[in-house]
Amino acid sequence: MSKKTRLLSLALVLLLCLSIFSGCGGDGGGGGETGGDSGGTSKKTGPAVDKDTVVICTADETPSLTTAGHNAVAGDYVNKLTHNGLFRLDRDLNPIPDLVAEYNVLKDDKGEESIWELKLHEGIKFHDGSVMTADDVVASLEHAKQSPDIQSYTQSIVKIEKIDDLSIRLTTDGPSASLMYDLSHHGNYINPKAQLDKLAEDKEILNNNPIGAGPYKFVEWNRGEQLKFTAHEEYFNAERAPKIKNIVWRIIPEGSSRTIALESGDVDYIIETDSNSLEQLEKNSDVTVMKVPSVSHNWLCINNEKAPFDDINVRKAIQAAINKEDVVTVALNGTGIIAESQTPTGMLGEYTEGFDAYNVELAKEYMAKWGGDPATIELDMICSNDTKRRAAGVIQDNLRELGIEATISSMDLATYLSQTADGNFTGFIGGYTSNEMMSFLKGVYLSSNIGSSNKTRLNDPALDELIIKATQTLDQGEREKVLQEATKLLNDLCPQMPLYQDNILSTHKAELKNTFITAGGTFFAQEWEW
Amino acid sequence: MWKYILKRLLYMIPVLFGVSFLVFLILSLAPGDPAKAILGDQGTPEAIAQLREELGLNDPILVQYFRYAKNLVRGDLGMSYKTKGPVSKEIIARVPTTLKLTLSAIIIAVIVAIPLGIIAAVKQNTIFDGLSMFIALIGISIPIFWLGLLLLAQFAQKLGWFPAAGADSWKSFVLPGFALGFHSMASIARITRSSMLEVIRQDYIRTARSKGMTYNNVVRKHALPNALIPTITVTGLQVGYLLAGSVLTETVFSLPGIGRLIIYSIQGRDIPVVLGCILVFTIAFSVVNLLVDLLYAYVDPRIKAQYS
Repeated sequence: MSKKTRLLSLALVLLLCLSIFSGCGGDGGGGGETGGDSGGTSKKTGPAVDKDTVVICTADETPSLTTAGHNAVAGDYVNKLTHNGLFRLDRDLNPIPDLVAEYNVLKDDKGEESIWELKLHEGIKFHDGSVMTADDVVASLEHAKQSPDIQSYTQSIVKIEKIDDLSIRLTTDGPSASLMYDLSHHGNYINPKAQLDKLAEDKEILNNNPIGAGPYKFVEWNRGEQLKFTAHEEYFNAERAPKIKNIVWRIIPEGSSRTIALESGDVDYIIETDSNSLEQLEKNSDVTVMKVPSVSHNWLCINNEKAPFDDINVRKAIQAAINKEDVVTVALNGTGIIAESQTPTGMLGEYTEGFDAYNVELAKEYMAKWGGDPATIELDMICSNDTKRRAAGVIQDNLRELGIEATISSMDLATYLSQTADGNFTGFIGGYTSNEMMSFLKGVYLSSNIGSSNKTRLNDPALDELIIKATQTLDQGEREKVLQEATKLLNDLCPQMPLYQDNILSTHKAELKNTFITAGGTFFAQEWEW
Repeated sequence: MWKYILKRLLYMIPVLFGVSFLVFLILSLAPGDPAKAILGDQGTPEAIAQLREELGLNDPILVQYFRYAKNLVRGDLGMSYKTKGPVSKEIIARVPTTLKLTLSAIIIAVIVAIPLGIIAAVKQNTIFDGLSMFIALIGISIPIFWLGLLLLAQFAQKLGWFPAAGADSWKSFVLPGFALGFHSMASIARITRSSMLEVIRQDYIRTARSKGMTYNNVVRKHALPNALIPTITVTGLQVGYLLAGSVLTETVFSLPGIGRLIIYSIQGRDIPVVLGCILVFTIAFSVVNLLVDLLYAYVDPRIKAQYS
């Protein structure tokens, strides 16, 4: 009422105007600002540093540079810069030879195709100038087998032998269709034997001074801030040699801050774009947004051991009652595809038959078949982040149509991982990412993984048999049939309620060329150029 | 005086062990298995068992703590569960950033807050007082996270005056220092104002004025030194707040400091790293409190006399 009150009110209004002004400026600012302050190529449109350098930014820091010392996606990205595997995945996620020039699969005494003879390219040089030999391969694979972090990628190999300086013989526990995929994993990348021999006296040698034969050499690591790499001039594969000399790898954990860093010109490439910034970035002509449906399969997981979820009709009712289009819209801002099967689409063996689409009437029929009172169903959906909470919110509304009053709980990631692995839940929103169907099926549904990654706790001997058969079928056509059979069985069993496969969202300055990301999220920085 | 300092430093030792035991206990009893957190969804039951054994997690909690405490006595903070490297290395790499951030925040806070508080007091019930206290009110109310993003949008993205992320130069600490220091600035300004108001009503101030001293000189030479003691106390306490606030600020501005490290480590149940960070914060807070106590002696001769 007094002068003072009026003044305070005016100041409050001014503050609000400033915040709205800043917010609006961010929305359209990228393009507009750039046009205004740049006569030609500015930091906002051109390279953040210079044409010999690309500044990549990512949300998470690798826990380690040791190839066999972690199973983190953030570490996989940097290991791919500095190291190579015997095989690698191509753009369609198929394994192809990398360090290996040729290979043969031979039969063992039992007549099973379990002996793999591999021959390396000649003259592959490590970053320290030494030449890669079979000794390095044997030492690296033996070292990888000791690491619990990557155990699922080393289990099938039972014997590793050197044949000559360039040739190695691997023996697997029976025919292994997943071996080439496993050897493409960073855990099995090749390090110099000379370095591995020093591990006893210096446990940190592989982390402090990683030496590989990859397209980029490690330069330095300022923990929590950035890593630097420079091109390996003697890279063995001339066609895939780096075109940009230097990489600065910055860690920016907050999504909005990554967007601001790109739009202000401080970075050139964002690996994980914040989906809330997508609309703003798509309007900005100075940046290119890449959207690729990922192979990450996300679901409402139900504990199949707990009543009434041990009844197939209850599971199928919940599955048919969920409007997945709404889940994608609300949880992912529309940036994903709806799930159409118990296994991901885009992989060898995908199969959609037998999977019920959203149909409330059908859901009610399943509930009637079950015969119980929906109001007695206790379903608590555990969520470990906002995206999952938004998805759970939609499901909560959908299930009310059936008379089920589901609840939502929040947990931090570590607690969530423990509780769900131990089976202390009725439901949770989760997912699994794998580059190929065999490891997906093994991880998510194999009964021996109950207590760790098989969180539905489904224990179906027929399914186990199909999964094992698929991993032992080397012929791709035959394997596809087995994998489809397994998926069909899963669609019938309906152990959980698949929701969506989200999009991989990467963004970069429009001047950066030859960028590409696979459905697994891999990109090939050595192919980029300004 | 030196005896007092030594005594205070020795008191820190039981404090450190007490804090480390409590934090160790809380983290160990909290749900969430470090092995499962490290291996994620793809860890096999065998791998989880192997990692638990390697990390010594199968031992009773007290055995685990005494093993930790034994190493701590030797100055060894242990190995990170996640990176498998020494915790001291992780922390040493991040201390300078948090130190620079906290220092810049406290400097910005003090430089702005003390004049603001003095002006508000000497111009009580005027437009200056209202405006100063309005700024202080905003400072106390505004969340660091939101202010940080606002500053980034305006000064990094739109104007391009400061970098959006990283800790490359002094420029990198201006926006985070301001975001972090704004709240402390508000508290210090409010306490300076109330303390000044109390002092300028004292008889000796009136006496000084009646002797013919100018008002400015009275404020500067007589009122301010006496009003500073509560300000110093609050400023010292604010260091604790700033250390806690660095967790959010370092995340928004992507600064590689201890605050961010502690968040990641708690999420991953990396107990040795969390303990290491908490111990660093405890030492910092204890040392700042000691410095504040020592500063009293220089500001107030009566306290100095007590020490001697």
